[in-house]
Amino acid sequence: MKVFLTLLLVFNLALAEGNYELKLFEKVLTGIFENHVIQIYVKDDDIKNMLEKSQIFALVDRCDTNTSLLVGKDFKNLSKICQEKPVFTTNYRYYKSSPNVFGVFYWRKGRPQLKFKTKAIQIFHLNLPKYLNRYTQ
Amino acid sequence: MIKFANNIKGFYLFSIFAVTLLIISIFLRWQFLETKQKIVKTNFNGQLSYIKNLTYNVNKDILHLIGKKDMYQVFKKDKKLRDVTDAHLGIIVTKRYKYAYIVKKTIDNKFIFLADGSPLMNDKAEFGETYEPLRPKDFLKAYGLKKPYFFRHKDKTGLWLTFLRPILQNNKTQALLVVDFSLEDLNIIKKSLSDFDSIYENALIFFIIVFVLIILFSYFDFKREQKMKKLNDDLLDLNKSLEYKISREVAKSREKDKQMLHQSKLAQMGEMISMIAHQWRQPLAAISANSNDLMLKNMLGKYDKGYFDKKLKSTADLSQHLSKTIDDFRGFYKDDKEKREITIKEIVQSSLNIVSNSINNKNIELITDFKSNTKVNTYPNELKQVVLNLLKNAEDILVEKCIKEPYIKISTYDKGSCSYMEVKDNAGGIPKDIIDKIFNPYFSTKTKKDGTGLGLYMSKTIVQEHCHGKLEVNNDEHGAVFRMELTAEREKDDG
Repeated sequence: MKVFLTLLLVFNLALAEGNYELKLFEKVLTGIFENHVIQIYVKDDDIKNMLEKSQIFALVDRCDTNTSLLVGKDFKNLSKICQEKPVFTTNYRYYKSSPNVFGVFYWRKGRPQLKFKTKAIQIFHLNLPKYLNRYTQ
Repeated sequence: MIKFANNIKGFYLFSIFAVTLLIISIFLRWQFLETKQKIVKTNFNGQLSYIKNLTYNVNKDILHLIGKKDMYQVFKKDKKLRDVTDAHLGIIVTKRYKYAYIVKKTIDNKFIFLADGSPLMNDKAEFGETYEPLRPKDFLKAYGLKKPYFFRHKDKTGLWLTFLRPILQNNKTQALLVVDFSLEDLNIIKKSLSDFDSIYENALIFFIIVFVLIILFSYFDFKREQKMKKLNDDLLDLNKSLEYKISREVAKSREKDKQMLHQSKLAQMGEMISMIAHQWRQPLAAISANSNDLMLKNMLGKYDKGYFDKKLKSTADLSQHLSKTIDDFRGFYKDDKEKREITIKEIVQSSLNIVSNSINNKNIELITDFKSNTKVNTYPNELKQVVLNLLKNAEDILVEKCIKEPYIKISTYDKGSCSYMEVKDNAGGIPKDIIDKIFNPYFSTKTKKDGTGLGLYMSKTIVQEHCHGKLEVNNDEHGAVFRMELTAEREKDDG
């Protein structure tokens, strides 16, 4: 319950400050990648612009072996190496349809929604922090 | 006193008026706040009532469609029913009623979408999609309550309100019909009223400040009036005492003048006695001679009737002359306070009758030049004393200085509406250092005789204050010139 409240607080604080999404990305991804340097390949400009403001993430221009994670609305025609990389999306339909996507963050009815696929997390050997367990499916 | 009473009354009336205005203003503000509350509440209740009715009808339709079957199962199996329900909910959705959807609670207290009326594809939830409300507790509460429930979003704007209607089957909540709607219109009304209230509040504060200032001003003005009234009273008292002091001093001064005049007259009396003696010496000697002559003739038996008649007539004439002299002196000192019309020549002549013998005996030439015939309305006896004083002064200084070929010239003339009399001598004039002081009381230059120092002072007082004329002095090449000016017309007017 405490964790939930903490998260809720984060949500509300972030909402209040208008910097919600970046804080949520930082909170979620640093939790999953256990504070390792996260090299992220971002396809979409709006998400890139947002994540660039973070001191935690290292954004890369090309997806290669060193890339830790792919973030975007959807990814088509990815190289073979990249097809094996975990994906965090902001598109619920893509989340539902793509097996590489382990999590999604999106807005529904003006409320932020966060979801994780247990199966995908296991495949990519990701460690989902306990406070995020509530959002697994 | 009436003004002061009016001020007090005005101050209290004004205070009562101002307090009444203040009370009315406060009452009006209280009324306004009450009305504002009512408007906001009525508007809010209206919106809530509308959404209650709307969701009630939708709820009824849905229940009609699913009958007594399990809602989730029916919706899961029947896509067409879901589409119909979505369309139903879509009717609700407008700019104000932004979201309308149905969610169901899962076993693990999560929520899943059953239907969504959103017309936007990117925001349209899928059937069975898990849903994380921001306030799941309120959703659960509505589930348990089994009756409509709403809560306001705790964001910055506070514009949004979520209305939850439990969809009941057999008194069991199957799902929640959720409508998010905006209170923007209400907020606009509230803001407008608040703006108005703010203006009203500022106006009230301003009015209170003005009220306090006016009350303070009135209070200080009232105090000032009181102080001024006290000062006025003090001033009146002072004026009264001053008036009394002035009248007392004036009376003293008049008494002093009277005494001085008396003193002056006494001094002149001495002169007069000397002059009477002088006047009488020669006629008395003549009477004595006539008497001796007649007695001798009688003793010798040389009675001559014609001679006797002549001598007796001469004696009678001399006696008459003595009597007239007495009359002249009596008239001179008669306390005649009545004005009458007289020429300056007559006044001078009358004075000369008294003093001429004395002057002639001192071998002083008397020169007269009378050109004025205008009558002036004045006090003759007083003016005679002035002329006499001037002539005696001239005589005294001529004798004192032993002037060779001494003379006194008396002239009268008219100029414009004024009549003038000048008394000149050839005694060399008055020294410049004392010429401004000779009219001061108790100022005298007479060394051989005892001067009182009052003659010229009294003369000036008589001419200027009694007769409204002028008495001035200056020196010419031979001696002093005293000029008396009398205004004929003014005297007539005064008379």
